[in-house]
Amino acid sequence: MSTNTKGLRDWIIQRVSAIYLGLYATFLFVYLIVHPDLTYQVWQNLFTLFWFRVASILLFGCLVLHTWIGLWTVITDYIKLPIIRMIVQLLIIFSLIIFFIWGIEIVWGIPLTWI
Amino acid sequence: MKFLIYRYNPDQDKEPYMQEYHLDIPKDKDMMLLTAIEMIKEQDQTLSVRRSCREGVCGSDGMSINGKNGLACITLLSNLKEPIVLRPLPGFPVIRDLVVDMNQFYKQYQSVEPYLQNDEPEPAKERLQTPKQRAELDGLYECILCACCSSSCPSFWWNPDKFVGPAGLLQAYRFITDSRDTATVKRLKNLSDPFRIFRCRGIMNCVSVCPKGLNPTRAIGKIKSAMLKRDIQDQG
Repeated sequence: MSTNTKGLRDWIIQRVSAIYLGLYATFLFVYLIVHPDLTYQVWQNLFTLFWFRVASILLFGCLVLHTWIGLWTVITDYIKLPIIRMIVQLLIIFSLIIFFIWGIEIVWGIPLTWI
Repeated sequence: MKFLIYRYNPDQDKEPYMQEYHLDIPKDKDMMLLTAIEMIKEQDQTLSVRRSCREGVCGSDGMSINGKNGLACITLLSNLKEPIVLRPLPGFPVIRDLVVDMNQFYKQYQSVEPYLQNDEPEPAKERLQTPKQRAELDGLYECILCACCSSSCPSFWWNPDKFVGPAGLLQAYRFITDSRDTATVKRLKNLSDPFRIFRCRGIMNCVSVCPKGLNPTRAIGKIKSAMLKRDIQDQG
């Protein structure tokens, strides 16, 4: 038997993505502390780094999954009418896809450096 | 002493209302809330309430006491602020006054198959456990099914038909962790959809109200860990 069903899978995804979101936020927090005189140029340079770009896109992915699982839980708790639930779910999926693409575009829209 | 008690008789009342009662209780005298309710019933015999053992064993008189679920028979009046507001267990259909319909709660309890299952040949005498194996059951078997926990759980309020609830899950773990039970895999599988256990968000209302001091949230966490371990084993 495998317990690897939607319940367990969602639960793991939500926890793993939360850890990643926490690590990313901690990194940004530390970065802001060690750069007290942060200029826009320095801030932009951070996002030109390839590894940070990948890390940021991974962040968007985690954010999308985390948000979807969380909101799906809230919706199935509070919205009981199937048609309204379906509409709200579609709106959320649509918004999350837009945010994801938009995020990639922002991060990838600036010139790339490899180190 | 002032009491505000939820009243609702579906045969007569259009909607529920709160009724005020007064009792003269000497300042130096303390008693259990259930005794006070019995005295109120002498004033007004139409008030409905379930009770039996009057010592926190049968779990019949679970109710919302000043907004927190508990057993009237083991709640001291001196620990309560006036007016004492009594309501039926939240989230459960009201049959009348403080009496609620527990059917859904029992159905969920039944769904976890709360009895020992063992497919090995029966031993001549009994299935033995080490003291350590027996100790695993402490904090699990003591549940009296008063429903104070499940009735304080928002996840159970919104999905009582899909989410097992803290009481049922505590019992599920009681058999999952029992060394004599061989149906562990089946039991874990039975809980593995997104609702039956995973609807628990760990807010621990169940822990804060349990009149027996049990910890369903911990049991739920252990079931989830067991599922994860089993899954890793299956894949590895």
